[in-house]
Amino acid sequence: MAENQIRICQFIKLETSNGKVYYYQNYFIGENKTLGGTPYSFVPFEIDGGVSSLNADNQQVTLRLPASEYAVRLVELGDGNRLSKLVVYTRFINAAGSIKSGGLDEYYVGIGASFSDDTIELRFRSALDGVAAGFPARTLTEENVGILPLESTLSLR
Amino acid sequence: MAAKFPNITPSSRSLTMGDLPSKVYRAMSGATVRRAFGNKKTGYVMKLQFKNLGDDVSVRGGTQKTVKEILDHYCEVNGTFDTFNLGRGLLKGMGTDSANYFAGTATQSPEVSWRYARPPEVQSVQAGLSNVSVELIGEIDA
Repeated sequence: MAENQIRICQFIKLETSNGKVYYYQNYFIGENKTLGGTPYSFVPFEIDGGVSSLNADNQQVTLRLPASEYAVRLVELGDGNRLSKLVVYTRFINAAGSIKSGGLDEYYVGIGASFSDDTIELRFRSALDGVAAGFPARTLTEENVGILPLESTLSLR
Repeated sequence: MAAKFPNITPSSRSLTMGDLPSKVYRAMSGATVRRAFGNKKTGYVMKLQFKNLGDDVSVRGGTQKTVKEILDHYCEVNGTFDTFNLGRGLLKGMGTDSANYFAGTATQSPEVSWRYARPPEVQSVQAGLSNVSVELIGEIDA
């Protein structure tokens, strides 16, 4: 009756703005588990959010961690989680504790973080194609537009 | 890790085994699917009752274990916050096989951290003597 028992382990690869990469998993308590040749250490995190929709872009997910020292450090290193990259590998585990082949791989970019008294939430988006009219995002500087106006009434010609 | 729980043999004891953290999806048909969120059992509960403990050390020539030992320990481990070890004495009176099993999987397992589930309850039963109820919880610390 294995079909009515689900064991899911989420492996995350989190790259902060300084290029440092962290590998964590949330199922095998207190263990290092190897996926694709890389050891993932245990961290009690949870992830929730959308996986797909008809619009197919910009899914938001939230990575929730206890507000411990390493989690605060992760947020700082990711510049408030605006410059971090996240890969989530969702894998099914069999009754013997082995990782089954296949699974879901998702890629996200950081968009911010929030703190509460006991948790830290890192928020991510799945794609860059949802920025619509703002793409490519450019900053007006004196170098590319000349003298900058003192008010927001701009017209592009 | 703070000081070990006082070595006082309980008058009665109940130990509830831990369980895998899981959730149940129950369909309208009644069919269930369970999802496990970890690979280790947690949430062990030990309820201890100490009857007729002395309120003062002087009871029975100063050899009596006292209520104060438990209350001192409770303060030392910062109430329900810090973890501590349990001595084998808490399993006294249990058969060897059962005691070995509980010690190995729960009370003395290095994977299980014990703390007070709630503050100890002291009930005065007669002058100088009290009953103390203690509930401990064994969990896996991240």
